[in-house]
Parts: sequence; structure tokens; C-alpha cells
Amino acid sequence: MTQNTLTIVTRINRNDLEALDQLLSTIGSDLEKNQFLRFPQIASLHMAGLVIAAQDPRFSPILIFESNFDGTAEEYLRELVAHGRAGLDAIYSKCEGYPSGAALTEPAVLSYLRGHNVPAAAFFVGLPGQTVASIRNAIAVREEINRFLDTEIAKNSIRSLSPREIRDRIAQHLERDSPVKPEIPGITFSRYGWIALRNTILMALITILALPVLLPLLLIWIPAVRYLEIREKNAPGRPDPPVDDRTYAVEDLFVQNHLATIGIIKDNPIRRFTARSVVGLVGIMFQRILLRGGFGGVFTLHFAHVVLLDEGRRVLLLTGYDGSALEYLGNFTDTAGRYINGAYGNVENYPACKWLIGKGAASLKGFVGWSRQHMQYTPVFYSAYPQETVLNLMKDLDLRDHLTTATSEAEVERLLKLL
Amino acid sequence: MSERTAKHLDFHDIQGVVLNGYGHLNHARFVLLNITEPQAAKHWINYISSQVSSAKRRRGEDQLPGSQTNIAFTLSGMEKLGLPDEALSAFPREFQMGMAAPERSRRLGDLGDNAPKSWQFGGPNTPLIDLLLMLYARDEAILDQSTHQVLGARLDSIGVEEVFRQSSIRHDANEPFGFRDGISQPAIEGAAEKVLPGQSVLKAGEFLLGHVDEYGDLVPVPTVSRELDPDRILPVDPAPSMRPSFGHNGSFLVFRKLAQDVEGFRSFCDRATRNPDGSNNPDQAKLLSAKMLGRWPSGAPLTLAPEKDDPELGKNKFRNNDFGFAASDHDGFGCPVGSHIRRANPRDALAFPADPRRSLDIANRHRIIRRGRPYREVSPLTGEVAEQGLLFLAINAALVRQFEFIQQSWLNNPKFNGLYDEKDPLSSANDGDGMITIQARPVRERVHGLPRFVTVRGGAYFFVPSIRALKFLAQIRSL
Repeated sequence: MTQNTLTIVTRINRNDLEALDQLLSTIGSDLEKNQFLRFPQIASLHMAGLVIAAQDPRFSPILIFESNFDGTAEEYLRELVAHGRAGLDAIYSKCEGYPSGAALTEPAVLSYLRGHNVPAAAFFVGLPGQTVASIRNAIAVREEINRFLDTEIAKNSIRSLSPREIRDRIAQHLERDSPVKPEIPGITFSRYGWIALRNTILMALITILALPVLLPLLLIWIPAVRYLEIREKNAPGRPDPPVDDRTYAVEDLFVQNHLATIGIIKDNPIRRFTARSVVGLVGIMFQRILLRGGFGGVFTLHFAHVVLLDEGRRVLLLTGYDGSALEYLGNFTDTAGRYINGAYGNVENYPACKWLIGKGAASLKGFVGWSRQHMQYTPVFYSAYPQETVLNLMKDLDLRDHLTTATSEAEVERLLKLL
Repeated sequence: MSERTAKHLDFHDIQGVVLNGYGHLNHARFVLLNITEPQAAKHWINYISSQVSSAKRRRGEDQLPGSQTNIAFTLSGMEKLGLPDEALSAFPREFQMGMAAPERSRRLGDLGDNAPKSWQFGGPNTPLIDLLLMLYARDEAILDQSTHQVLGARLDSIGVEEVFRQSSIRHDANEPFGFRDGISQPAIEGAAEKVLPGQSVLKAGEFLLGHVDEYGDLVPVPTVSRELDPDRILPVDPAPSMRPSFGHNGSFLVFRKLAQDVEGFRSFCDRATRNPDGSNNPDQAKLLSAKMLGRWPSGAPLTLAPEKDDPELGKNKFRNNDFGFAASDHDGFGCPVGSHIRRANPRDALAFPADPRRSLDIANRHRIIRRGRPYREVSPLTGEVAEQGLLFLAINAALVRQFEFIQQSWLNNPKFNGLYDEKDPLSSANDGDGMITIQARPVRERVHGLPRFVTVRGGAYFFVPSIRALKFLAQIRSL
């Protein structure tokens, strides 16, 4: 089953901004038991975030409700309404156009949510094909194996065994005594590596075939962007909106954290074209090629998606990531800047890029400064497995999917080292 | 060993403590002061500014002075002395907030028993700290003399009052848990005369403001208006404004008092490694303590000496830091992935990027220079040691990217480098629920129930101004 995303964007009634802020803070402070949005009961939900973007006086304040889930959008919306109707009514009654009175029916709510969904221009999934149930099962299997090993080591019963003998004991335990059983999906996570390889070869072939058409376009387009990069160097951009200090208070709280940024695409047709094209291209790469847990050396992203707002004038990035904000942003400076420069180089006040992919995020000072300046406040952030990093889960899936079936001694040894 | 010649750093303008650990001076005193009369304090700072030690080079042991004095300020200290708002607000957010702010505590792990509300200094329930005086001397008599020379007989006459004072005597190279300390320090490009094998040479901007850092960035520093510096004491900032640079050649200093539960550490290692018959197993206890640190007591790294201590290796500065983890100890079978030294400096073995060279480059963007000194408090009633620990001093140019990053993303991070649920076994607040995974063949072992071995007793962030900035601060006048 594939993961999916929804980004519901609504305008907040200006008079209700404060009340909405308070309501979301209440929900955010008790994700498990609040009576508004009962996230834990939505079985298909991986991550959800509610973001208030109200800092920039040039734009109306908006509420962004991001969800990452298994299955179709329609199935998810029905689950959401079933387990969060009270919250949806309380939240969206503070936004423009929400039905009221006799018109406030379930079909009307569903229609409102559907109508305000802005499709993602690019959607990255850290662990493609892995449902919430599959991920939770992999976590439970690893925990069970660890418990078993701790017990056996304390009894001094396995120290002298070979890796394969230990594996056999683990397999026996999982089969006979363990309350947790491995549920290996039809397409395992490691299979996505092969799918990515196949897609890479196909994409390369398509690119070669399209080169006669692409090349002339690139020869005009790329120098035009470079010309703009040089010209814009000495042209100060419009001042940014003030930093929302509340973003500091809601970051670095958990193992997983949420980051939302909004940038304004430069008012130039080449910049708009470039931003749209690059985001589109990145979207294809996210869905077809970058299927192995990370990209550019960054393995901290559970989900990320890019949404173009206001008819392509603004670009919204929503991510659920592991670790501290500085560590996460620093990853892009250290290793993966080129993956985002192509799109963000077209955004106002982003650190200067060179030939689309150079510098930009490679300047920590510039990139962290820009990100901080454009961060949006996320009072609600839910995760179905908040204590796990992408790296943890990659190991868990590897262990669950292969430990009992591994045949070679080296492979068994490799898998035991994951523990 | 390679030779590096200092070319572009102005050693006369940089305070000595930034570039020098004063290894020849075993007696130290740290005095935290609050400014009560700014005008009198300015006169005093002006008077002592000529006694503040710079990093200027000396040739030969006989030329090394018998005492050294350095000074550093908190934001409030500089504000009281009249540094204008435009310069104060240009200091980074974390410095402006101070170490005890809740947002910083969350990042540093200063919670529970480590929380600032329980601190002896620097917390919300203790007097405001404006400046830190660091005094180093060859012996106690010189230290007393130096202290008297700098502070005089009456503090009120120099416009300050004492908030806290801690003295330190270093008897040997070991820290209180019994391990050789101060082995792995980065060298500064342009300041390192000799670079030891395994030692990284980092851009000056990692430790000095106004210089290019490891990212190739020249981070803006606090400046003042030209009118405020009519005597042209300060250098001109290279930024387009060409304003006098207050921050140039300055650095940030982390000061923390860390109490170490030496007895608790020893008894835990004994308990966790007892033989099935209940008797102690000293070899296993020693191995466990080394696994937690990543080095043997002699300083020999487990990556190079995985089975037993190697005192020759430990004391050999040409060998004891000359290693990476990636090639020979990637899986942590020697030095566990979660051990203290591997968390504090993962070297070439970050989980990603997998390329050891890139990993080392990235790890080097989060280094500090440690200037710690041990302390020991004796009970006046019994004459026994009541508390001992480390006065942790660290030099860095970007508190949030260096010191705080190491604390948050490496030491206290339960997910460090792919681990699941364990913090630094030595320095983190484990409180009885801690764990360390000891990677081994055929399968890992886990030691549960780690208590807290280190408790924060106090701390603050300071700015160590350049000698020129110090003189400017002492003479600053209101416009």
C-alpha cells in the first residue's frame, strides 16, 4: 500500500486567529487524549501537523493541515471525520467558508476538506510502502528480540554460540513463545532499492531520448538563470516578515520534529518557470528514484512535501524529521544542499546560488538564517511512532524482513549487528 | 608531525585562554563577579586590562610567566559597562538568553537535578553574573598574590561584588574519574605551531570571531558606531559598513561546574560486572568503565587497544589520538558507538554520510577546545573530599553549532548514530534508567540501570573579548 498526503489550506478569520491559536495549543499539548482530534484512533495516519502561517502581512493568515497516511485520500478523510469531527468543527469554524447551522453535515465537512486540499507538487516518503501497521510491527519485533537476548545473555546461555545459532534461537522464540510475530509485507523496504535502480535506468534512457529536445532548452534556460543570479546579487530583496519566536518553543521537543517554511517566489517569469519545473522534477525523483530512506546523505526525513500556494507565488515546504532543527538544517548544508537549491534559489532572500545548484544551502549562515526567518508556527504535530528515527526504522525493517530467512553466515552477522 | 607557522592571527590581540590551556600552571581560580558600580568597574577594567594575558608567543620554558589572567563577560556585564544596544543585539540569540534560559536548558539537558534552579551560580535563584575572572598560577602563593593584585583589597572600591569563587589544583593529567584528560583537542589554523598525528586543524573562525569558519562563512560580528570609538581602538569590520568591530578576535566561553560522583561510578562498574558467585571482577569493571569512556585510564583509546590498557600508548601524544573509527572499529567492537569519546567527537564514523572523509569534515564543524580544570571540595569537619568534579571551560565561536550541538545532538541524543535509546553513559542525566550497548561478537550486550554520574552545579555563557575590545569596553563613553 502506498503512502499518501493531504494539505488542507484554509484562510483564518482574522478575528478568530487568537482563539484558533489557543485551541491548537490545547490540542498540541495533549495529542493522545484531547477530545478534538483523536489522532491515535486513525489507524492509517503516520504524521499530521497543523501550522498557522500569519506572520507575513502581505498575505492573509492561513491554516495548513498536513496529513501523511496509508491508502487513499478519501478513506483517510472519512477516518479523520469519524475520529475528529469535534476538532474539525471547532477548528474550521474559525476559518473562511466552513458550513454552519443546518448546513453543517458530514458530507458538507468532507466536501469542505476536499475543496481546500492543495495537491503536493513533490512528495517524499522516507520509508516507501511501509504502512503504520508494518512499521509498528517492525518496532515490536526488534523490541521482542532485544528482550529475548537480554534474558539469554543474563543466563549466560548464548555467549558461546555462533551467529547462526543465535539467529536460530531468535527465530524459534519468535515462532513459539513470542507474543509478537513478524509480519513481512509482500514488497519489503529493501525491494524499493531495486525498484529505484530500475526507475533510474528508465529515467536515464528517457532523458537520453529526450536530449535533442531538452538540450536547446537547457542551453537557453540555464544561462538565463545564471544571468539572473548575477544580476540579483546586488539587488536587495524585499524585507522578510519578522521571525515568529514561537517556532523556537515548539522545536527540538521530541525525537521527531516538524518544520514548515514558506518562501515567496521571485517576481520574474524565468524564476517562476524554474521553480515550477524543478519542483516538478524533484517530485518525480521523490516518487520514482529516491526510495531508499534518504537522499543526498540525509536520512532524517520521514515525510516531506512541497506545495505551491497562491497560484504559484509562494512555496510551502512541510517536513517531519529526526533530531534537532540545527542538525536537520545542517544536513542540507553539509551534504544535500544541491537537492534543494534548484527550487529554493528562485525564492526571495534565499542565499545566493550559482548555476542553480551551487552554494545556496551550502552556506550555513545563509541557509539557517533564511530557514529561521521563514519558519511557520506548528502548534500541533502528531506522529504514530514518535520515538523512532528513520535510521532506527530502516534497521528495524531490515531485521524483521531478513533475519529469519538469511542464509549466509555473513548476512546473519550483519543483521545481528543491527541490534 | 607537520609544522604550521602562525601567519595571520594577531596573537597580541587575542586573550591567552582562547589559544592556550596554560598547561604549565597547575593552580587556577575562577571568580564570578557582579558589577554594582559600572563607572568604578570601568576604571578597574581599564587598570587591569594591561595585566590581561594575550596569546603572544614565547620561546622556551623559562620565558613562560608564573601567572596568567583572563577576563570574560556576560551580556549583562557588557550592557552595564555601556556597550550599546545595537552591538548587544548583534550577539547570537543563545548568548543573549544565557545558559540558564529554559530554551537552552532543554537543548543542553539541564533538567531535573541539573536544572538551573538548583545551581550554585548562574541560575534564576542566584545573583546575576556579569563577568568571569580566570586566574592561573604556578603555585598557590603566586595565585593568591595575583588574585590580590587584580582584585585589590576591597571589591566595593572597584565596583563589583563576588558571586562565586572556585579554585582548582591540578595534580596530574587525570580527571576525577581517573582517566587521562585533554588528549583530543583540535588545532587552529594559523595558531598551531606543531600538529600532532590525528589532530584536526580547523579554520580560525571556529574559535575566533571575525575569521572564516569551516563552512567558508565569515559570520557577522557585533560592531559599534564610529562615533563611539573616536580613538580608533577597535579594528575596522571588513563588512561594507566599515564600522569598528567589537567582536573581532573575541570568542565565546562556556563555563560549567560539573560535580562527578566518583564513588558512584566505581561502585556501579563493580556491581555491573560481578561474577556469578557475587564476588567482584576488577578486570571486567575496568573494562566496563573504559567501554563507557572509550579510553583506558592511561588514555589509550579502545579502538587501538581493545583488549587491555596500554600505558605506553596512553601517554604517547604522537599515537594516543592518531585514529579514526571507520576503518578499524566501524561497528564499535573496540570503542562502543555510544561511548563518551565517540559521542563527543564521532570523527570519521558518523552514520551518514558513510564516506569517512566527509564524516570527518562534518564532525569538525562541531568541535570545541576544552580548557577544563578539576576541583575538589573538602569537608571542614571531616577533612574528607565532599565533592569533586570538573570546571568545564570550552572555547568556541558559535555556541549553538558547537557546544550546544555536541550536548544535544551527540551526547544527550538517545538516537545518536543509529542507536535506539541511550544517552552518554558518563555525562548525561541517566538517573538509574540509563543504558549502554556494548557492541560485540556474536551479539551485543547491554548494560542497564546507569545512574547519573555527573551533576551540573552552575554555569554561564561568556564572551571573551579581544585585548583591543577589552580596552574599548573600559573606555567606552555614552554619546
